[in-house]
Amino acid sequence: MKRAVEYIITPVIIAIFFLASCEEIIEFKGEKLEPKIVMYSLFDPDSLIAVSIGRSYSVFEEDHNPEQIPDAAVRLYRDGEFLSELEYLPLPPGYIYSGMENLSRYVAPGIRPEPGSLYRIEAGVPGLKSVWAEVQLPEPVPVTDIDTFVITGYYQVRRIGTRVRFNDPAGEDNFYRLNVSMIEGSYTGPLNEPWSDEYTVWVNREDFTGAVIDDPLLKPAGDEDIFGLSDQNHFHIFSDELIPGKEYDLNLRVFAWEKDYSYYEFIHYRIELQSISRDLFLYLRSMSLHFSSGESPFVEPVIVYSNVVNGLGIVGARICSSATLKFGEYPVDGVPYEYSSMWY
Amino acid sequence: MSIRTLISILLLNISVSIHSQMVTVSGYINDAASGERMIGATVYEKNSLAGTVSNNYGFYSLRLKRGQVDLVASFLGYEPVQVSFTVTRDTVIHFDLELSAKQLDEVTVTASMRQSKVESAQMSMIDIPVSKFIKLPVLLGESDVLKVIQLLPGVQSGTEGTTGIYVRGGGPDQNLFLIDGVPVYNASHLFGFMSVFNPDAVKSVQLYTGGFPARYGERLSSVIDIRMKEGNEKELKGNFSIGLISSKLSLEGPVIKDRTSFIISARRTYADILARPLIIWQNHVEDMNSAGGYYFYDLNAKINHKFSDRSRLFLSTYAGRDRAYFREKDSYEYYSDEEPVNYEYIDRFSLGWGNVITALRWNYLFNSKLFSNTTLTYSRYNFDITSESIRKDLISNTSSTDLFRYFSGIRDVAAKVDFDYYPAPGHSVKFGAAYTHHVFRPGVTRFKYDQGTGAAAIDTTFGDAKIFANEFIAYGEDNFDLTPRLKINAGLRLALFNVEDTSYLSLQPRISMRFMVTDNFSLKASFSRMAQFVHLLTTSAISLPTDLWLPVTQRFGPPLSNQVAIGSGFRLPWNLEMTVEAFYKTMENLIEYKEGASFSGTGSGWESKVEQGRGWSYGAEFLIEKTVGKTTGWVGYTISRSDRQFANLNFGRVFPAKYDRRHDVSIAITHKFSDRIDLGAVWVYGTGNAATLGIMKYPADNFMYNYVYSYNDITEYVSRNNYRTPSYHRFDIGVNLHKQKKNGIRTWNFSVYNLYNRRNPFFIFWDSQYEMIPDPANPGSYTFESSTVLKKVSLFPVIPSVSYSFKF
Repeated sequence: MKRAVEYIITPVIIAIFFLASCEEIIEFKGEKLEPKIVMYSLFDPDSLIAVSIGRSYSVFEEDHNPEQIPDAAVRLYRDGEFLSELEYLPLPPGYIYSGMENLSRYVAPGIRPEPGSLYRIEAGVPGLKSVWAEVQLPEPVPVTDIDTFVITGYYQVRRIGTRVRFNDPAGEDNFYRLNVSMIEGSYTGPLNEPWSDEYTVWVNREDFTGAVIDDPLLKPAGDEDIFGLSDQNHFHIFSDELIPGKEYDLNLRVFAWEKDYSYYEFIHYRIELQSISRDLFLYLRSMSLHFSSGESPFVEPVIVYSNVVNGLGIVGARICSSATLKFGEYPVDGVPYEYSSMWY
Repeated sequence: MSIRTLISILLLNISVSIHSQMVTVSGYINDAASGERMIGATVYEKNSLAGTVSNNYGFYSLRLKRGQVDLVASFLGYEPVQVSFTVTRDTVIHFDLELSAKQLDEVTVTASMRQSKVESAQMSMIDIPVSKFIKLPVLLGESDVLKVIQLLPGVQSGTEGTTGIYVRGGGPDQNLFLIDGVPVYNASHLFGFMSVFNPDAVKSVQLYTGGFPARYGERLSSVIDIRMKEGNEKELKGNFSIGLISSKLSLEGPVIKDRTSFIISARRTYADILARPLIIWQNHVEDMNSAGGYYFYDLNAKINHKFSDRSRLFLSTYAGRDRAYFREKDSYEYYSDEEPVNYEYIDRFSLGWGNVITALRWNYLFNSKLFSNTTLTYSRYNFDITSESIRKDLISNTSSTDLFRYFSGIRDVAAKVDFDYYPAPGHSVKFGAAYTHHVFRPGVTRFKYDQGTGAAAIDTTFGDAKIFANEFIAYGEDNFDLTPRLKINAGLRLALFNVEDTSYLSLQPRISMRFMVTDNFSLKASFSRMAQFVHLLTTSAISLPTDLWLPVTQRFGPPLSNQVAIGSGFRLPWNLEMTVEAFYKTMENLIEYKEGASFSGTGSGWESKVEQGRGWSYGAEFLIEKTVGKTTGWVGYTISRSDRQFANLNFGRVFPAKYDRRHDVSIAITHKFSDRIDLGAVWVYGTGNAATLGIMKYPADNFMYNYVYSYNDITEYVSRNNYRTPSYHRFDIGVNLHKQKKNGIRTWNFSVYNLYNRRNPFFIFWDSQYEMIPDPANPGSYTFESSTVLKKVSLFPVIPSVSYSFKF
């Protein structure tokens, strides 16, 4: 479809526009706004409660230089009762830019969210209006079965087809995110010689791999619509709108044949079906669409969803159910492993 | 005046008509050259000044006193015909009007020449003369009915160059397009840049923006009633034209002279044909095997037969389709582990949409006072998109397929009967009933993946459900002179819509009044309540074929509107007429996509993607028109405001509608220099469109496990449609050069769109601007300084075009 878009629709529209669109600077005649507190938090029963705090800035701040906000007051409430004041977690020394410095991290040591409780986070930053948001953990939806089969695709590339089965709970709206993380090991020595422990197996981990999701529930993940707007679902989220209360098999494909297991290479996939809160679903979906369509003249700009009252951002929740596909052994005694810089 | 008084007068009126010594003169008004029935022609009796107007089928009926009558029939641009006789009983008189020898340039205008806006009880209605709109300058040489309608007061255009219309603050789904009385669901070709109405086949265009007569309904904001030609009864005629985008051919003529005639009109774009040699060349150069293109075509055909003066049958059809397609074939042959491998890959893509409309219509005249029209109609719109990849293993003779297909559509089958009854002088009644069976296919999505190895294939279909709906309509409208100065059109429309387990009954009262203050000045008022039983799901600024029509549901009931309008009409010197109208319209049960929701390839579950809200608009419209003489045209001005409020959009706050525009001005002029040269010019001005413009930014978090992908910061828009783009204006000019040839008249049209090259905003966006600053520390070198700037993108600069047509 992508080529068709390139070859037909885009040229038609370009032809209509007579190859004549031109840009010109115009004067901005609107009002400028005060910054707001930006607050993010993801409640996960397997993680400590943490909150990220930032601030919004004017579009005219071309040289906007985000700074840590160490003096925010972040308070946690559970079922209406004060639970804890969160502590600022400074960036580690020698921290290298990755975008994290846009947000300041606050943590509640030793506190993990519990199912059935309603949590509220309040945050205040000097000079900005205070904000708050509430969240509750969703019910977990277990993966009931996982099934694999071999697929030979184009150019004889073989992949492992995988069906991930789950039962959508009836009588309620449910929201999901599919995550396939991967750990792989690659032998660093010559493959045409016998294995030697003088060479390491280099281990890398990725949160989302090159798994191909064939499933229509997750379309158009990685696909384009007819106007070439791509990746409308790049967080791999879906709702039970099409499968309310039904058993369903998600379809995906993973690589497995590139490794030489005689050299202790391996590849392990962790397939995670996350049950996520509605607010988080709306945030991820609108953010995905926001970045897909933000500058397209053909669609209305998408305002990113927020449940932070008086502010921006999202306080959401997830609970995971997972299954693992293992190709090759790891770890193996006596095999020297070396870990990539992303391994922490 | 109390209702009791009103009813008494009405009954008296009817009673008098029954018992007095009146007779009925009736008949048809035809074009003498072609036999075409003339819509809206005037017939009046000179002495009593009793008059009427021919209906949509050219029929008139007039109640007159016995005795000497001088009956005059007239129509704009035609020589009036007068018949004098003594009438003693009901009489049938048909008029054949001939084009004025002097055509439009020196015609003496009389008040009764045409149904003057000053005199008509109807308000908020504009009759668009086809002969005029084809003389106005056009974009890329393609005349378009809807682009002329955009120039009228109360109508806002959508995206530049497109045919979208927004009437009195309404949305794009609130316009009812009728071809010969049959609804058209998608009136766009070429992604909205051209309409489906081929001007060569159009006979008349009427636009209603308010004061809706009871015979119209089903949309909140406007009715565009387009009547197609019937075909020349006298001789074979034709017309062909060649433009930059499309070519057209029309043929019309008698099958049996004066009894059976036909018209067939077709057009097609040819960019795909012209591009074919280039594609072949590209395939040759790049060793490829691919083909692709885009085209649309449409066809209007009509045949009618007169069984007698009382009975006439019409069969008409419209079929149009847009199609984009692409296919590519490739093959690979190599050895893998000394085994030969030979694959062939085929990729196919197609996108198509179109309407098919058919109507079988029977006009029957029961007697000189009762005219009937019975119609059976079929209307279908469908859209489909298919993408398929096939891999064939030519050695093992197996193949794998990866298929995506989506299609949606709507189909109507309807039967209706309409009556025109003329009981008394100055009194006519229209009534009728209709039944429509709707079948909605909101969207069927099929995914198929078959690897061809015998393993189980994935073959999933979603949304394969039809929704059936039944719609019953009954209406009655009474058009009568309550006093010689006060004319009233009062009506009631009853609609019952049933879909699945839900039924909606809607009573829609309508009333329009005209009071003649003087012979040249009238005051008018109207009220109309409208309901529509379909929703349009649309996400875009232009008309996309993916726009989806869906029926109302229990949760999302029918959109409703109430509109009041007051106005006046003036007859001014130099054959000018001026109308002024003010309106206030409320709209309920409007739907819009939720924030973050969009077309996702399936119509099922759409209710969870939309929000329901309300809207309102108000404004004033001014129109000065000149319809006769060498120079004709109009000046229109609209001042208006249109807002929306949805509980869950824009945080519940009121926001301007997408095409809310404070000021709209249009000037459209044609001037005839001679039989060989005429000129058209258009100037338009509009306040800038509402746009959603980000003013702040903030960091994103996508909640990945270990690190944040480096997405750009999120743009915070604060509010929907929070900003105004710069104003829109442009000037177009065109000239038509006609020459009489041996077998007909050839016309060259030269047009220039946007003559002074105004860079009108299509959309605006933020961008970074870099400036070179001399570096004082290093003379001769520079540093870069960046700043955020607001930019506008413009589409159409000055665009000349040429087209050629030949009429024979």
